[in-house]
Amino acid sequence: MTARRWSVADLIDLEYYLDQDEQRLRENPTFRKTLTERDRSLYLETIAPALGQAEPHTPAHRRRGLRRWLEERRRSEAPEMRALLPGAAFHGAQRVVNWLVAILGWGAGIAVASALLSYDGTRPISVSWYLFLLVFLQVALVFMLLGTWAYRRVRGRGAVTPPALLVGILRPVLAKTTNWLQGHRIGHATGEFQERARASQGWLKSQHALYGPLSYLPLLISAQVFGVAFNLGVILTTMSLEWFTDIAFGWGSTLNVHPQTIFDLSRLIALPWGWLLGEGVGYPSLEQVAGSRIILEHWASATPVDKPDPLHLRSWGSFLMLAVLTYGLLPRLLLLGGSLLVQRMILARLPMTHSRTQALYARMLSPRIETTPSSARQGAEMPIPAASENRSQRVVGDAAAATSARPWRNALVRRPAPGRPPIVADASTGQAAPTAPSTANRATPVAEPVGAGRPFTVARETAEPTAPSRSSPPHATDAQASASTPRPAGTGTVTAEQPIRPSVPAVTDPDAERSVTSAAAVASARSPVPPSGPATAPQQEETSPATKPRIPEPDPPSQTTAKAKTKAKTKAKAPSKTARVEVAPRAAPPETSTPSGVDAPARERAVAPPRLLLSPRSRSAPAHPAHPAAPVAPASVPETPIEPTDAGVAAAADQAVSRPGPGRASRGGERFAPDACLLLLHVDIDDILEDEDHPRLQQMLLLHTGWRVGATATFGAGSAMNEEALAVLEQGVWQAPPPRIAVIEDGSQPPITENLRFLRDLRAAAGPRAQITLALVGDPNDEDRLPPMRSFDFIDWQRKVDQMADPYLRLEMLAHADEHGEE
Amino acid sequence: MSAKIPRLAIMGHPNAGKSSVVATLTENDLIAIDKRAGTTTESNVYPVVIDGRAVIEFIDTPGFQNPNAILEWFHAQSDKLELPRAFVAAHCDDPLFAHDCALLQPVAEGAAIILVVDGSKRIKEKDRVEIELLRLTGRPRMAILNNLTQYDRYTSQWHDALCKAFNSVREFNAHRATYAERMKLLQALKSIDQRWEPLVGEAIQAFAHDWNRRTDLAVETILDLLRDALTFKVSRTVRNGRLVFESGRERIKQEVMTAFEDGLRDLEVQAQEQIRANFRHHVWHMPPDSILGKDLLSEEVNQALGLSKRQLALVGMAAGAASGVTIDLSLAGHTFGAGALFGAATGGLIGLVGGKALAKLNIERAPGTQRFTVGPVHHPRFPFVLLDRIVLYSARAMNWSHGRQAAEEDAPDKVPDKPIPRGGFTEALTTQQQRDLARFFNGARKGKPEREEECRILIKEILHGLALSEIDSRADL
Repeated sequence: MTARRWSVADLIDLEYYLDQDEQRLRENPTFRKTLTERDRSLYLETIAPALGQAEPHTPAHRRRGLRRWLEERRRSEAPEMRALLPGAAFHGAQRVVNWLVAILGWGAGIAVASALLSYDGTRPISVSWYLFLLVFLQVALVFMLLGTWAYRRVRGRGAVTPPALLVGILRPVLAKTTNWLQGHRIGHATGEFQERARASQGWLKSQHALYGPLSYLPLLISAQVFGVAFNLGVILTTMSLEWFTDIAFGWGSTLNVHPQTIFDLSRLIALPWGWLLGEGVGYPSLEQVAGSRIILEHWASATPVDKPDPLHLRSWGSFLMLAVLTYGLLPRLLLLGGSLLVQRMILARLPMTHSRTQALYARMLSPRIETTPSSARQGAEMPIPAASENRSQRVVGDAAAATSARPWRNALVRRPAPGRPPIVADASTGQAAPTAPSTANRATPVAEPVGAGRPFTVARETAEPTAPSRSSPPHATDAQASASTPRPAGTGTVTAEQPIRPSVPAVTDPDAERSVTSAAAVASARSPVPPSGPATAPQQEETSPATKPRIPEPDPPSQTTAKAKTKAKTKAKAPSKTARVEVAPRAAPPETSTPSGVDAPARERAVAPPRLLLSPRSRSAPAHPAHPAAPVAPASVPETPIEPTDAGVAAAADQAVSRPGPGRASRGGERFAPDACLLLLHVDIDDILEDEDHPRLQQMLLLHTGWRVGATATFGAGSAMNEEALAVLEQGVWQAPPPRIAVIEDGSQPPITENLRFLRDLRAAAGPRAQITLALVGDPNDEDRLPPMRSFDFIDWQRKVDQMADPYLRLEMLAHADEHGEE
Repeated sequence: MSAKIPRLAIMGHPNAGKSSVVATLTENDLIAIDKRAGTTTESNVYPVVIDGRAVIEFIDTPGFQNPNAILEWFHAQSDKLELPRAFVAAHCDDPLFAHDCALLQPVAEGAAIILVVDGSKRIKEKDRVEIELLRLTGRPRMAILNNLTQYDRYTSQWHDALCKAFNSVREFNAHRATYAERMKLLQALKSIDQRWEPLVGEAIQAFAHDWNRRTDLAVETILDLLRDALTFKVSRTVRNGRLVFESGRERIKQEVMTAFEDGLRDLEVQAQEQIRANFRHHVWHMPPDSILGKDLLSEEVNQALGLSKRQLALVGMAAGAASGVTIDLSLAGHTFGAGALFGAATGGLIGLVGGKALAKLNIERAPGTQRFTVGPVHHPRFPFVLLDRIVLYSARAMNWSHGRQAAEEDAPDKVPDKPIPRGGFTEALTTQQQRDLARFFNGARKGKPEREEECRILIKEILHGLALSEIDSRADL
């Protein structure tokens, strides 16, 4: 219950605590958290339950809440400190001062009254003096007080600054007393408390700004107490003297004042009570007034002629007492009561909205939010898969299911191969069957782009003609053996090109010239490799050694010729370069086991199906019709189409040719020339590469590794796809054994375990010595689909790849920031 | 009860910004964030605790390491009901799947999912796989397009892809998220699961409350700073013996002035510290060319912030503050042009900034000693500059996302599409408001509280506007 209302002492304590908090906060900003916690929990634990249903953010809630808070704060104070709180000290001081003032006033009243009323029987007491000092002066003081108040009210400063007189006299007294009181008590307290208590002595200083009249009302009240006591003293003295002694009152004037005037005056003064007590008691009658006039000469004469009537002289007594009562005591009592009332009203209506209390209130009401985790654990780094001889076990059982579950894959296929379904059907010879469907879905989109790139690579290859030629002989024999069989297929390819050519010119490639060169180069360079395939022995002999040297440097025209030549020689050869051509031979295997015995088993496994699938697919429909013409075509092709056409056309033609071939088609047990590699493209990259990007990709790859692309496969969309990619590797025929694999991945995202696992699988499939180059590409944008990656990302990859500790695994940036693609 | 609180697992692949999102949402910049991938290696729980009671839990997870394998496993086991739980049970011993298990664990335990993707990049296979596998978990889920750049050409693609599998999709820049954006994102959490509305609502309220409280505190700090700075004085008593030579006198003057300037700077730094602590920042990168990095009393700061000369003259006259000087000022401004004035001022810090010294140096002579006193500042522009600067600082503090530790500052700013008003905050105020401020400054100089309430409200409005991005935060200053 005590906690319901505010008192001035409470305010002082509140300020004291706020001050204390603020000071600590200033010393240590992190203290804020403690504060918040303390106030919030105080609120939740004790204040809120005590406040019950009160609506927060209402003035009443605020007042009572803060009051409770103060109570709690006081309670938490050490008992010996509680009495030292400035509020308590102030309260004590106020009491002491009020008593002191009352006694003083009382004493003063008695002193003044008895001085004024000292009557030795000779000369009556002057009524006018008494009235002047004890009534008029007091009334004037009251009016002055009201006047100042009104004046300040008008000036609008009433609430801001306390009256100077009060502040000047009473406040120091009050402050001194407080200090004295505190000092008195501090005497018994410890040093620390003394410190704190001293720090809290300054309370009344800045508060008038915050609490308005509250800061001086206590002083005003003390003043009124003094006044009341003083008047009481006066009245009691007067009364007792009148009762116990005989006092004569009189009045006199040098002026010729008629008693009537005095009578009128006194009646006027007695207005408040005159009606009640009537003439003679309430105020002297005219006769009495006249009778109490003192004329000094009368008194001086030894024998008064005209002795005044003693009754007249006494008649003023009650009038004077009533005057003091009415004009001295009553206003003071009214002022005292008023001050007390105002103080109480103000206290009851404290808005408590100034910033400091506002902050406190907000702390109490704002839910405390914490977001710090209980424990931030540090787990293991990203797992690095261990090296293993075996490929990791697929989690999945059913590849078909996995495939079907990626509908977006289908959606991403840009150019669905027209011939696919039938092909699949055809292809479904032997083991190929299960894989086929999945391949169909995934592989197709890829195939074409890759094919497109081929010609380019080829051009590069021309530079190092030696390799192919070297390896050719053995293959060639194989090829010959199987020559008859493969031909259909191989020729098919070739022929297919012819028909296409006319249409090709449309392709205006900026790379036209280059591709021409490349085409030429391909023709020449490749010829040796493919030999295995369609190429007939004689042709090969001519081509491989002879053409190569020529081709490297040629300018467009010469190239064309060169090409023409080569083509003439090996119609089949051109296609053969690329995996596709080789396909033909490979296709043969099933029928004739002749092909290089080494890979025979593998090949058989891989089988024609894939190849078949691929080549037709990539080639597109037109190819098929060509088949019948196959045998003828080879011979005729070289001269006719090439020579007439200009460079561009030729190039285009080559492109067309090569395209079908290289495609992932090679699945059936690709034959890899000594400088050729298997290109594994991540689907993310594969998805966005356009046809014209492939040459560039291959060129960049060549720059880094010196490898041509022998075959391409995609990976990254599920284990089935990865499996196929690895199958291409495993079934591949490597002419210069340790296999060479180029992996292109998206480097714009950090490596994850999955990436590394694939690399491990790759290693397991390729053998411990296989050269694997991991080339990273940045995030593609409009201008550049194979942009350089940020070196920051690269370092990320580097760290992870290093942890794999694979000595034959190289990490590269496919493009460097400075050289933008085009060398 | 505790079982029912919303638990949200923030998922995505490594480096998608999961931790940044958590840090921003929970205003906690002590979460380890690194540009490098894979900083988070465990699922860490970041509960939002209101008055000791957890209301929401955000779970920061490591990135997916084997999304394809998980998806395929899910497909293979599609007959199981609780896929995540089954997966975790089956793989918890496999070190290769350590991260995947850690991140699926909360999902297995029933947490909802917030997928964070980098909206500035193309959709990759991995992303589709993750979207699909999260869809298969069957949990309530939401996606956040965390786009740290202005590059938004993939945004609609992302939306298309995400909408199919997620209850709601939101764009969010964890590195630039303002208070308002943060609140919107929190609001969106309600849409994941309707049953969460009350608790999420409570959390939002608590955040809003907390924010209000902090804004109030910031305003107080700012007012205190202004008051302190405007009454700041430095004095020094020196025996006459040391002043015999002119050089000695000059040195003392110099020392006193330096002390004065340093005192002002310290005041500002202290206020900044307070504001920073207030908005819970432990990590803080200041753009190197920011005006905040410059010296308080430097010419650049003086030019960039505060009122224009004309405004100052108007306000000064109206407020009756040092009107003589301000009239001079305005006349001078028109007569000689700003160049001349500022040119003259570049010399010394305390030099003639805008034609008037920062503060006066007083020398009182007493027998045997002299007392050098500098201050308080009476330059009419200074308080405006100071106010602008501290407001700018507050804006930084308020809108600096907690997830930004690793932000790349070269990423293009996403914020300003509208033209940025040149100059400080005070310059954009109405004349009446400027006058209120001027009055307040004048009062503060004399130690009198004048127009304090108006100014408190004014500053609060500014801060509030900043938080809601209604007022431009002058991020480029």
